[in-house]
Amino acid sequence: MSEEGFVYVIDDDESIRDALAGLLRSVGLKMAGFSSTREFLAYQRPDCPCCLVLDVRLPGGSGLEFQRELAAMNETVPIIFITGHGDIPMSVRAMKAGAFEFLTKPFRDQDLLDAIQGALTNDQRRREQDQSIADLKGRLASLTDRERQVMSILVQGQLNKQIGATLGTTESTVKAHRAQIMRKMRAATLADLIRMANRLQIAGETTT
Amino acid sequence: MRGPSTVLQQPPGHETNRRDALSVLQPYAFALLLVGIALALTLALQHLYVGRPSFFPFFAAIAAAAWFGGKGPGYFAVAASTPLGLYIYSAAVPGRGIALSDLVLFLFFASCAFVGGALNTRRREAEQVLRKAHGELQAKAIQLQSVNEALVAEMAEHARTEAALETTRNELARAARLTSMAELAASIAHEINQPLAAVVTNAGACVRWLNAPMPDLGEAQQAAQRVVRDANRAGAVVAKVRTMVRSALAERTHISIAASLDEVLALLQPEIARQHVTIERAITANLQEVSGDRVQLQQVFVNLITNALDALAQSPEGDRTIRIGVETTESGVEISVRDNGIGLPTELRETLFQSFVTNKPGGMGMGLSICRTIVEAHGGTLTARDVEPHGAEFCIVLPHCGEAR
Repeated sequence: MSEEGFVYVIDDDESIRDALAGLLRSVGLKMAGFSSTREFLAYQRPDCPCCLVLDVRLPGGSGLEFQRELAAMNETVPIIFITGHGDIPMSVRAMKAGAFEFLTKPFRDQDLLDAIQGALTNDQRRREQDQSIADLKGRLASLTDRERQVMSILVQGQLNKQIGATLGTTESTVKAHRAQIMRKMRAATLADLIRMANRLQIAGETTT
Repeated sequence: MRGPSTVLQQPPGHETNRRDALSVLQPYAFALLLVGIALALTLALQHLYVGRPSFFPFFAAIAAAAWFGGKGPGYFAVAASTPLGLYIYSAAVPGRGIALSDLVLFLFFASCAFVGGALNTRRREAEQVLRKAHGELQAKAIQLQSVNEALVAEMAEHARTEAALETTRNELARAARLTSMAELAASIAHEINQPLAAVVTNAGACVRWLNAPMPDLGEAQQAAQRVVRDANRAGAVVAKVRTMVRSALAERTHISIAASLDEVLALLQPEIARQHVTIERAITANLQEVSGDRVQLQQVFVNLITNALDALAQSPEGDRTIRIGVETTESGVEISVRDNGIGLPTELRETLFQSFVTNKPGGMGMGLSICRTIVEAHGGTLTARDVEPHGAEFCIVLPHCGEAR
């Protein structure tokens, strides 16, 4: 992992929070413990890969409800549920709603650490993806309108001559646009450019 | 309603007419008979009244005919008596013809019939009034009876409702008891599970600190201290449950063991049937009572029988028997629950009644521990042993009523 991970723990039982803090410290993970969801929401979270260890039974609402609330707030933090009285329907619900893992107390410390490790890796990958899409969007924004027009036709596999005919310009003008696009988007080959277009979901647009 | 009743009130016409005619003619025949008797009497007594025949029998006959039959038969009697009287008169006094003075006799006869007939009418009227009153009384009585019947039915209905209500109430109470048992168990489970999870996690952390390339004894010690703290917390929960069980014993009543067992068996019947288990009842001490908390003892019975059911889960279906025995011994009332299942697990034999000892997946290991606590709080003992050829027997001995601590 290139970045350091951060683990949030929400459990109203202090001894569980203490125990998890000790365990996470022993493997060198940073953590912050909260006794309620409100405390967690009020916390200034650092900008790094993170995951949330969430007790199902909480004072003032269940962990499953909080999972929905977070989703409604567009929070993408991976959630690992821990519960003392988990049943299958509950775990199915949690997993369907996108939980990363569902552990029953008392759990093996290794199981929890594995889950945390997996969740952090997932979160980091998501962050990297978010980051690269943001990059690509920045590059796309640096194109002129005309260049963007050319690009949207280009990624459909049309030849310079055809693009020229479609847009009513000469082939050499299209060639010049194309060189600019490849430079600005930092694409080495046409295949690279098509992949980028796919990730930006702009393939298919013909005109603006 | 009206149609059929009218038909019923009109008996077949032919028969009625003849009966009516008979009943009308009857008083006339009676009058004739009376006059005949009067004639016979007068003739028989003729020699006593020589020269002056007596007509008293005729008067009596006319009066009687009028009294019983009414004016008609009375005058009929007069009509029959007058010529007979005149004949007797003329026979008694030879040479005497029919004189005007004989009209007097006729008038006497007639007035006698009139008075008798009037009396008869009165009597009939009185009778009618009486009959009417009687009829009304009877109607009243019938009405009263129907009211009474309705009342009785209502009372029966009331009793039935009451019984149904009572049953529902009992079922509710039982459901509430079961729910509270389940809730209690769940809350105990949670209370113990929390520190238990903390213990496991802390112990894991402790091992990690010690296993690190550069072991951190300070951190390891802290983790170990947290283990001690959380384990004590779990112990405190168990102690609290024990105290709860003991303090709940304040409500001691006299309990029939057989009846309590029957209720428990009824409660578990669905499970018993589902698992095809045969229950053998060997209850010799049917009326034996002990002093204690009925609900708690029933919880012990439920626990032991449920354990027995679990132990039989692996047995072939035709060979699943639980024998429940109650007998009186010198030391007290002995209640035994014996199954022919797999028997007691060897490795648990020593620790069977301790907390957190279980061989059931998902079991908490609290059942037998709490059972023994309850039984001991009742001044009794709970023991377990293997039985031949296979199976286990749990035996509760409770002191006789009045001997409990």
